[in-house]
Amino acid sequence: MQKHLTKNFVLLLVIVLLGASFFGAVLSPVTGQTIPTAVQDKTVDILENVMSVDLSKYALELKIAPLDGMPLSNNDRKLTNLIYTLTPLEINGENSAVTIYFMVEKDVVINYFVSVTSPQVITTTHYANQYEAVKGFLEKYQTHTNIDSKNLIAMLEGVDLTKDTTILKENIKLVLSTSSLFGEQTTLRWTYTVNGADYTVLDINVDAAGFVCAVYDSRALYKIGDTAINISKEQAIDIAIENLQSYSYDMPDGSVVKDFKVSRDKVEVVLSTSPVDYELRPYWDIRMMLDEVYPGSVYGVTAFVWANSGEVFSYSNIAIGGVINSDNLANHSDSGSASPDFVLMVGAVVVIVAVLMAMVMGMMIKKRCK
Amino acid sequence: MKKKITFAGLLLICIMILSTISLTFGNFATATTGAANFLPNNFQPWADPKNTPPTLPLDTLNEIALSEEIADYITLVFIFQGYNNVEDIRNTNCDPATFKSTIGALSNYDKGVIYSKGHRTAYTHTCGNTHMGLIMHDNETSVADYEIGSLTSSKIKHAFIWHCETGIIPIGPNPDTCGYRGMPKAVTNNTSIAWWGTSGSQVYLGWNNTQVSGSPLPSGSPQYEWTLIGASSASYNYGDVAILYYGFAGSWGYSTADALIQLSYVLYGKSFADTSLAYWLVVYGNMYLGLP
Repeated sequence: MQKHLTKNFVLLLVIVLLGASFFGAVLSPVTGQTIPTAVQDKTVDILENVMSVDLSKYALELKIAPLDGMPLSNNDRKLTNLIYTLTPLEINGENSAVTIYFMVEKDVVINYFVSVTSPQVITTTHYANQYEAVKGFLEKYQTHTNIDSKNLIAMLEGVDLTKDTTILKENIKLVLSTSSLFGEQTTLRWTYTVNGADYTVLDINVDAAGFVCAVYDSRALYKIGDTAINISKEQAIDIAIENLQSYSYDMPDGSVVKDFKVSRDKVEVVLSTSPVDYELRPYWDIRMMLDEVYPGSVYGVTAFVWANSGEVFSYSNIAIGGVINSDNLANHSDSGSASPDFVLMVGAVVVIVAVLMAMVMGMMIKKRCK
Repeated sequence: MKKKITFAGLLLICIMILSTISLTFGNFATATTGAANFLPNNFQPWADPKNTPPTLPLDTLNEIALSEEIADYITLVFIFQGYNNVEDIRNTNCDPATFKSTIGALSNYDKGVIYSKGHRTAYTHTCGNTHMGLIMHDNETSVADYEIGSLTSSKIKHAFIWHCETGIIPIGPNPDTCGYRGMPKAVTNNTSIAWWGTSGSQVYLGWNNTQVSGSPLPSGSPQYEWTLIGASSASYNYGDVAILYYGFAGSWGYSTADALIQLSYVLYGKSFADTSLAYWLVVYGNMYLGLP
């Protein structure tokens, strides 16, 4: 009797566990993966020695997830997201955990930031003012990255961190800007600049308390390629307008839109850089407004011209979602109903199956007792 | 012996009930959530734009392909969030009746989630010209803000309306005698929803009409195919903003503010507040919330 009971119980347990694990696996929101220990060590080093987080005050939890499976237009980049949750060992409030996000690319930490929803981080170091805090951060960050940042530190001399300003010294441009969208913050952005084009960057955000809460650094990620600007701005506009005659795009009915008309006074040009195999190259970004709105809500066309060779390497439609038919009136209709509730349906099925199995087992037990 | 059997049977039933409860509520949200992903993208055959009124196709072939791909991804994110029901309404299925019934049905859940990508229209209306609507697939019909407002409730916890000027709330009485004006209040059914707020249980994202630095024209919502202005690579387009937002706010559990910051680092190499997206892509309600 006991043997049969145990057998049936085990069978039922297996079915329930299989069902639970199936639904758990299908709907699991985050997939973990491993990354090289050295990279993980870098993030811990940043926490401890750059951000000066007092790790003795927190319990650390780490989630790692690659940014794959996304249909991004540029899928050459292999990005991995590391999320640290720092839970205080002494709970001081309901939501006192700190979340810090890291993004890693080619084993380089390209950015990290403290969640805007997090409380103030407990640190082992304290600075007298924002200026000292930024200087202190740069010194520690220089040690961490092994990238000489003495010239960046020197540019801070005499700078008022509360005022928007731009300083250019040799090939380094420092732009200071303040914003209040996510609390009072100052952004300091050092850019390696050649012939007016911006290449690698160190960008930090410092809050009012002098804590560097966000960092972006592309210096270790990208190489700098040919910086020559052999094509002038005017030549680039000529190339863009001339080549526009060969540009066209398709509409869903098979028709082709072409023969665009632009006037030279409605052209805007920006010198920029873009990576090719992790090497930055200069290009002219030429935005040409068209004489009228073309099919597909297209108001203009951007041409991308390499500044060293003059080759047009891409076009893009300047298109917006606001074509207006002013007299449209909405149709009125009665409300319908949505599809059945999936989880409740699953739950109901499980309950019915469980009750049925219990009834069968009960009957079996009763029969054997007789 | 009989007592032992009865006890074993009861124990078994208890275990089964517990398993059922954990299956139904444990891994998923404790509250029920319904989501709707609308794609009323439009294509009309070529017509002479000199005609009055002109009937231009609203989307290129490339835009339609991108829109389909991104709609697939967002629907997948909703499914992986474990929502109880996900409606994916596209193309010819996107008519006023279906749109409104789907929006209305979200009130059957504890939490409602909406994404919509398309175009908008303005109304010449007895209540004035400050109402706007979302154009349906046929480019002839639309659903107005006041109609949406009559169907929604405070149960709409997350909405991103990727149509032109859906981040604008017109100045003046709101609602007026027709109903809500502007999508932020209509979709959230919230007269006091705050601009870049930090409290409340709702979050809404929409597009302003802004002369963005570096853009040659004042712009409402960008089409996905438009290459990002000021990005760190010439190969990114605005569709990537939608993809990364839902990737971070959904699968990785970021708040809306954090998701915008992170996607800006990936695409622009700078924080959101320093990009041309800031104040163009706007948030109403609690920016500390992500997808439910």
